[in-house]
Amino acid sequence: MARLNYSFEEKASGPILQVNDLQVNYETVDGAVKAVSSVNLTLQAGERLALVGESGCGKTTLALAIMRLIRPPGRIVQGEIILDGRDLLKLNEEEMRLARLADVSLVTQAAMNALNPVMRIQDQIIDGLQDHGYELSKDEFRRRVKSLLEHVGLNASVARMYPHELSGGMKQRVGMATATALQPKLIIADEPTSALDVVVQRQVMTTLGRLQRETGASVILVGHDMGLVAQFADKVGVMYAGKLVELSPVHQVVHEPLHPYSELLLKSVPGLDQKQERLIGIPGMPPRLIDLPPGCFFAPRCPKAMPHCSQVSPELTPVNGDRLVACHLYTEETTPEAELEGSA
Amino acid sequence: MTDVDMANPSSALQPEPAPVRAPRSPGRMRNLGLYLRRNKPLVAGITLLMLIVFFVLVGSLVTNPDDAKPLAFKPSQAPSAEHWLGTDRLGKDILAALTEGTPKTIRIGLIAGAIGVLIGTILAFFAGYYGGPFDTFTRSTVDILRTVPALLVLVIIAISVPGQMSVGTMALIIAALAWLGPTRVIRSQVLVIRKEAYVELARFSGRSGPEIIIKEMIPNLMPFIVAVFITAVSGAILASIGLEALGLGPFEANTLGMTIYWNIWYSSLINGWWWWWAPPIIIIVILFVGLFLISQGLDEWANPRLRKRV
Amino acid sequence: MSAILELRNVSKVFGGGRFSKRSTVAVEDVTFSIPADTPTMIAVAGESGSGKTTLSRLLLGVTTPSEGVVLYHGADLSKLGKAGRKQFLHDVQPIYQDPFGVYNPFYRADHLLYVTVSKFKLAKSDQDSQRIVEEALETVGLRPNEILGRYPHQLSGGQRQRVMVARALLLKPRVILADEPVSMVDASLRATILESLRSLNRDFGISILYVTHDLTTAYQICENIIVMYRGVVVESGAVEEVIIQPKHPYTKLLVESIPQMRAVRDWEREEVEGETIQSLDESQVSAGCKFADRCPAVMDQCWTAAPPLYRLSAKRAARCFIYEDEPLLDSADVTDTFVLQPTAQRAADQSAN
Repeated sequence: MARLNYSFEEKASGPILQVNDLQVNYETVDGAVKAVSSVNLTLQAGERLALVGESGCGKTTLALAIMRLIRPPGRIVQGEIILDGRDLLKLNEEEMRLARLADVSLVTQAAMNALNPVMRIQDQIIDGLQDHGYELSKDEFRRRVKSLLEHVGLNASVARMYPHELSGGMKQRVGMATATALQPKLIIADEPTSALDVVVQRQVMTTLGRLQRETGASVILVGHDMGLVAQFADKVGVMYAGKLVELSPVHQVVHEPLHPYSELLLKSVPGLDQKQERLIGIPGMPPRLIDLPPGCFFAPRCPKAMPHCSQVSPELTPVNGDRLVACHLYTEETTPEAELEGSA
Repeated sequence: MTDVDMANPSSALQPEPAPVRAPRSPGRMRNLGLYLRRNKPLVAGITLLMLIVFFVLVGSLVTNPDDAKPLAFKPSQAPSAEHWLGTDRLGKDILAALTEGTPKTIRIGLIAGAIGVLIGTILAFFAGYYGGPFDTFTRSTVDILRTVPALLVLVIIAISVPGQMSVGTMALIIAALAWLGPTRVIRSQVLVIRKEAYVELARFSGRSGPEIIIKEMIPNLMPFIVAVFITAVSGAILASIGLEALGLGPFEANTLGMTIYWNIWYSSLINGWWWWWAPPIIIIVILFVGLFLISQGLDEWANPRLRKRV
Repeated sequence: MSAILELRNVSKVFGGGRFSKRSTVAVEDVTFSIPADTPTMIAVAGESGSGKTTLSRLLLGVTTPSEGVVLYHGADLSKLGKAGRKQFLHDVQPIYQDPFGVYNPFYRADHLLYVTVSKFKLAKSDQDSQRIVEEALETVGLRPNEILGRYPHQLSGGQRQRVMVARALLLKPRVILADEPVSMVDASLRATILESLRSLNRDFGISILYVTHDLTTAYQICENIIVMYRGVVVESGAVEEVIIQPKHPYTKLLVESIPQMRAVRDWEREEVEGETIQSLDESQVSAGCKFADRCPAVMDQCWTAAPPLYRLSAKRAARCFIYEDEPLLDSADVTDTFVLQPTAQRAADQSAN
């Protein structure tokens, strides 16, 4: 029972999540599609990280890889995913199954449709708890479910309802209730509000934020809405063609994007502050992941590209303290030796 | 933003990688070959049908059509070097009889199936696309007629046919009911694609109703229609065997059903003439299993949801 | 002012009669028109269930109204003859939301482009067709050699949607009805596609009806806006006014809930401090104003009587009893609240810039 009242101990050192050199490929008849290329990232306990980027940038693949939910033809080729000291990639199937929900859980965009239509809500949540070895009396289970539902702002009466009786926002919140049932250390939310109206989105994200604060869990939010990300996250990781190109505190990225792609991306998202003369997108198209160009993947579209960029791939390097950027504009300044080494 | 298929949640957990854009559509033949490798039922079904074709080929080489006439040889002989499958009670070389009859049975199935699907497709499209009273009428007719036992109707029609029954006549009789299933099933699919945005957009691009049916909808439903055709053929063959076994078939022809009929008439089972009752049954089983597997395979091709990724 | 398309007191009910329990009122008593001689960009904004898509489908003639009438150049749209329909197709074209479903997977992506050209006899020869198609593609910023000959699945979502815009453009229509044209497209491409819609309006004089749930883009590219909630128009007017200073409680709620990148709010603190939206999970059905159960400013009368549209200014109308001291909007025709610049004026403005 101690697990259910997980008190969050401050680990002396070490982040809650450390991803090292992760690579995920999709095998197709024409070759390997490099969905995620050598991603390194660190997440502290209680931190909220957002992964942003456009279709095909690998953010969803990365999020699912952390939960080892990649199915063939997808394959984690290499890397380490160390969650609270344990490398998830080294666990066997059974251990990983238990780790899902207990240590790391997922709230998806389709959480609404992932509910079993013929089971009552409480039965589905209890199912998840029982599956992880919890043996409580019926009453205790029901009380736990009630408390979970209330935590996400749902009336206790929802417990006995069927999914079709709930609205989209309510179902999404049931998904969050399930995801936090075992108080995991990491919650991955993959575009949880994309299908919801803006008012409901606000409610759902507020609830998620509150849950995060109450349990001390870390959150990885995958999304494409920069406004939402700015609203919710502490740090943001910008992905392009399977690579992390920038990783910084969110307000710094918004006001002073370092990577040219981040800059263009932010410019293409208008706000309500001012009516723009022209809406500007990013010309060109992202590269085919099966046929990535040498050097920096963004170089062909980058307005600040230098000849060096199409030869050598930039690594994520620290700039100005806790900001990480993968761009030669900054690499040159800070680590001139890197250029000479000619990293892969 | 990944395009999540909301009705298929498992696809939400399996994100599509960025589309692989080839400069030209890679060779259709190569794609077909690779696809066939992955579509086991289709390949298995085709193989079984090839077996039957092979059998008929061998039979036509080893025997000649006169061997299949009554009293061509001494009756009820067990298989031997001279008669690979022996002879039946009527004195026919069984191999010759089956060599003659198998294509005939299949032909009945093909003709009846084709007519049935042709009628069915036309009715299904017009009823499904235009809706209204015609649709109500068609739908009700099909639903009512389907409740009537088909064999019974066929028997009545067969009895009423004046003169001698022939292979062609059999096919036509069966075709009379073969269109019911296809109409129903194809109509459902028409209702589904009618809602697709490209159909509506075709209207806004100036296409008329019949044009949309023929040029926009039918090409997309072709795999499905072919699958329905295979099923219809299968059903027609079954119906023909049924009618023939009851004695309503073409007596002159050695169709599979007629062979069964004679088997029953002369009690070959009790008499222990296994070389007479076993081969037609084996052929029928292979035929049906083959057709079934092909329709399964085509079903998977036609329905992109089931398709495990080309 | 003559109108090319007009809705007069149009209502649309789905499923059963008006009084049947299982019926849904998708659109209720809406009156507005798209003017014939002044090209404009009108946003129809609302969330799911607001009726905005039904509204555009009524204007397209794909759905017929349960009450009221849809007029095309003054004539009843549902009763148009063959010639009238042909003319209608020339004048009014749609753009749909899903950049995939609009393509027939059997054909190449340019299929419908060529079909449109041939059905409307826009070209005199095959070469001419090719030229016209290529021009249309270039107008929307695509390179013909990247598009022609390819299948839809070989193009990106943004490309596909732009091809659709090119198709709509072929007939040089007077009105394009775009139903959430960019909601399924990436952020960076949205800007390009929306900008091309805006240039269709500026350079070709095409009126655009932009149906969306995204108020930010509506604000950026449109001049006028109609905000819908559960089938009724709750607010309308010039986009600068409605979005920057919303008057209807629902519009206010909507605008406040949009997460702004450069103007971050503290949602969690707002929740704690009680500034939350009443839980819309338990909605009591109101016989009066549809927004009563969620309205922070709800009054007793809101539950029993439905407010009419009040005219708040030259470019604004709102449906709320808060403004009952204001005059009623004439025949509830929201077109009267629109910013409309005659073409001559617009050309003069452009040359002045």
